[in-house]
Amino acid sequence: MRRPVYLDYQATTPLAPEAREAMRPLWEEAFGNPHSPHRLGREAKAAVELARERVAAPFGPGGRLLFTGGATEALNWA
Amino acid sequence: MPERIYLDHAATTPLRAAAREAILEAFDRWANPSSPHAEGRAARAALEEARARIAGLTGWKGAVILTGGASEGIAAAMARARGRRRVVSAVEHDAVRRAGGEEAVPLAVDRDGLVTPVTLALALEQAGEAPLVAVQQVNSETGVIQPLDTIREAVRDAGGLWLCDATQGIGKLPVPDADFVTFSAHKFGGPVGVGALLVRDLATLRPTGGQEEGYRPGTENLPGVAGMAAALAEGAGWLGRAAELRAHLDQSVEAAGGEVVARDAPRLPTIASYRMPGVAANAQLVRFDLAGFAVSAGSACSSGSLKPSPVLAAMGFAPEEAGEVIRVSFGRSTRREEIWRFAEAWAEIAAKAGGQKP
Repeated sequence: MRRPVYLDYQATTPLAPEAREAMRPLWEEAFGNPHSPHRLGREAKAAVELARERVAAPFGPGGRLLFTGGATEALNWA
Repeated sequence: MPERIYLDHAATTPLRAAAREAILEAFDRWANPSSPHAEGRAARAALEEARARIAGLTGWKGAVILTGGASEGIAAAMARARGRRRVVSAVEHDAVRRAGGEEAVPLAVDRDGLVTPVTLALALEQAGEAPLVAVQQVNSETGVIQPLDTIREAVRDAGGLWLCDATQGIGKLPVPDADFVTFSAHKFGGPVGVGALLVRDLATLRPTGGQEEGYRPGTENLPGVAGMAAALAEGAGWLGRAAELRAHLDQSVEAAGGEVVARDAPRLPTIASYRMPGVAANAQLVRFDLAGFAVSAGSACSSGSLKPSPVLAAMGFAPEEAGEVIRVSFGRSTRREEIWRFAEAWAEIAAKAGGQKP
């Protein structure tokens, strides 16, 4: 049996190694709730805001970027 | 001994190793569970297997709708459950309060933060026919456990539906026998961004179309759901130890001149609120943080501004007193030594502040 060839990237794509690596600390030592008032919480909040800047960068200045659970949720909000 | 001691497990708690492995394994085999090919079908099978595990572990006989978390489940039930007026208890989490909106009928509590047969009767009368009643299982600030049997009977007798926010009790206490139960995985060692809405009878919830049999559109988060099931499977065997730790801490705080909020009410042993007379919560949080302890005040989601807690206000605390209360919460990893050190720090901070009073 030949190895399967996946040609359904429109439906979904494999998790990129860079993404997995970026998530790792959050699953281990950096687990704070971004709304908590203590240091671990403040670090988590900073990480969220840094991610927000990085995701928004390609879209140029102006406007706001809100994180959702996916495209369908965002469509329903708007 | 670690440098910092984390006692804010009610805000969130570390991801369990079994959950992390389930997540990574699901990512390795990831495909869209709605895809028609073999990879998609395998993902679908894994999703349904995780769903069945969650149903089995919670003993839930109705529908298990997978969501992005408790807040989403609460908003969905409040917006789409059948029924006319919404009734919201005075001690609900901000997420429930917001979803209930300005038109919600308030349901009062006693000094321990418990709804009573009298306050239930008054609210249900005001709400009229077919109400949707939101009363939590466990309070996220005080740990107080509501009289679940009383609530179920009263709501049923009124021909209403009961929405129970079980976010703090899930993975620790039996799941309430309500019409809607919501929770988030990250409160019991699962990943953030996933939760469930348990629905007794889907006919009581208006569908939206899309996935989850038309009740929750959006590609299903298989890795998250797998992590949630794995974390839930770990069980609540550690609660006995938590109860001992909490009893010790309650006694230490009282011995040092503090007040245990809702001391004699039924409380989940993993959460406690303590008042330090004369010392603002803001100041306590700064001092505890500097001393290496992560604790909280109000509730995490509203702590940006540390406004006085509506929960404590509803229990009869004056604003100044409510402003002296912090929350401590335990997790699986909480050790005896951590509690002893926190108790010492609490007494020190209280004593120093007392020394500085005019």
